[in-house]
Order: sequence, then structure tokens, then C-alpha cells
Amino acid sequence: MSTRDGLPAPSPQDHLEKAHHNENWAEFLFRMKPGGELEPAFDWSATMAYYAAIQFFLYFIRKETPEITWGLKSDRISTLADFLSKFDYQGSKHSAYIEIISSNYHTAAGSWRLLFNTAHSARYNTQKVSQKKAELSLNKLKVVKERFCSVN
Amino acid sequence: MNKNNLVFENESADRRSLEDMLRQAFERGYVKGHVEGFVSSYEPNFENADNQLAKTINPYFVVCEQFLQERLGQELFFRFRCDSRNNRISFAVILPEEKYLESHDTLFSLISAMERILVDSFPSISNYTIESLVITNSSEAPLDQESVHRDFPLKPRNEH
Repeated sequence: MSTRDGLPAPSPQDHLEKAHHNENWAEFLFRMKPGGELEPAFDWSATMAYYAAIQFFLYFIRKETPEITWGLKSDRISTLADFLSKFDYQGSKHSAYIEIISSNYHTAAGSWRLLFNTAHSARYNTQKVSQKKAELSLNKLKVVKERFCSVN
Repeated sequence: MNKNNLVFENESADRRSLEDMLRQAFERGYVKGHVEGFVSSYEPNFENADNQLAKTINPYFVVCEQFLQERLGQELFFRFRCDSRNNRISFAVILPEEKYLESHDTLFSLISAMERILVDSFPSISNYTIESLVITNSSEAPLDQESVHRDFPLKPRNEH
């Protein structure tokens, strides 16, 4: 199995390790104290939380190859590239994640949207991410992790 | 978008109310679906109020905005843009951060419903990607008006 760029697809364990790495950084960036060499980075904490969620989800589909439904079609996927090609999805990768999870994994849908929304705002808007919003992202990451990685 | 799947496990009363309100708006003719022939009026800067697609779906967003204002406060407002070249409709919901923090589950559930009903209501955009974003404003994190206007500049309220 390979990715669209021809590289070998990461293993489930690769995704899991990356997920935990991102999760750890999200929590570390959230805990940074004011007045230090660098100020707390709530925007990057929320961003890392979202990318941890992505890796937890990729771990799940790589490990389980679940059957998902989108529109009138159902098929099994083990990578995001599978979804894009098998379902001929034309939107962005981020919107693809939203579509897959909204349509198939209801308990994680709201949390995923919040994680994406906060991370997107943090990256592309000059608006600051507050401590409360970053904390909310970390809480929603726990929901996503529980759904897609409950045995680890 | 997928009309056959529910987005959240528990259908909320708010969501059903939104669907009822939109259904009534369609029945009264305030919102008109099944409109074709709009794609030729694409304008690359998104600022042309004559954009036929934007004019067509604007009442839909007005109804949604009114509904969310009733639920989440009058400070909430919408902006949207239509990108016929890339088959994409983007919209933003702007509201105070305090309201967002206490109502985010309801808000995202309703936004998901809005996306779904929008595509189901206008067959001409069945192949469109709908992208939504919630933008918050607070004294701690003031709203960047410039980026909001740049990213979501179009709202021809009086053009329908």
C-alpha cells in the first residue's frame, strides 16, 4: 500500500506514535507559563490537538479498514487517499475528514468540528485563541481519542 | 453532503425547529430552491452583489441567521460567499466567545444541519462543497474584521 505520492503508507503504529507526539505537544504548549522565554501558545496547542485527532483517526482506519458510507455509496477505507479516490471526493482533505466522521462516527462529529474550527482559526486568522478555547480543544481531543483509540 | 445520514446521535429540539423554520420559509416562497443557470455570473473577487447564486441562497442564510440569533443572541451574525468556479460555498458564523463556549455543541449541530439542508434544498449545488467556520469575538481575543471581510465578503441581503 502506498500514498498518493508513491511513499509507503504509514503503519497503524506510525500514526499512533505521531498522535501521541502531537497530543503531548498540545498539552505542553497549553501548560506554558506567562512570563517565560516564550508566552503560552494556545493557538499552537489547539492546532496540535487537531493534528493529534487526525492521527488518531488515521490510526483507526489504517488498523480497522472500516466500511464507511458517504452519499449513496459504501466502501472500506484504510487511508484518506482511499476515501478521496473511491468516493471521488472533490473537496479539501480537511472537509473530507468532516464528511467521513459526520456521516459515520456520530459521537465524535461535534468534537471534530470544534477541533477543526479552532485550529483553522488559529492558523489563518490573526485572531488570538483564548485559554478557554484551547482547553476546550484538549477536552474534545479526549472524545476523539476515546472513539478512535479506546484500547490504547 | 449526505442527506441520508444523521450527523449527531441525538436529534436536538433546536435542530428540528431549524428544519421546521426552513421548511416554512420554503413553503411560503421566501426561500426558493431548484434554481438553475447561475454559474455564469461568477465573479472572481466575490464582491459582485449580482452573483445569482448568492442572491438565490441569501434568503436561506437569512432564515438560518434569524434562527440562531433567537437561540444564541442577537450579536450572532452570518457571512457567506459563493465560489462557482470551484463549486464551493463557504460561510462563517460570528458570535461572542462567551456564547460559543457555553453553546458550542448546539451550534455545531445546527451548522451541520444547515449544511445538509442547504445542499438538499438546492439540487443545482448537489456537487458543491460546503465549508463552514465559526469565528468568535471577545475582549480577550478581538475579532479581526479585516480577515472576516476578506474571507467572507458577500452578503447581498436585499438582492433577492
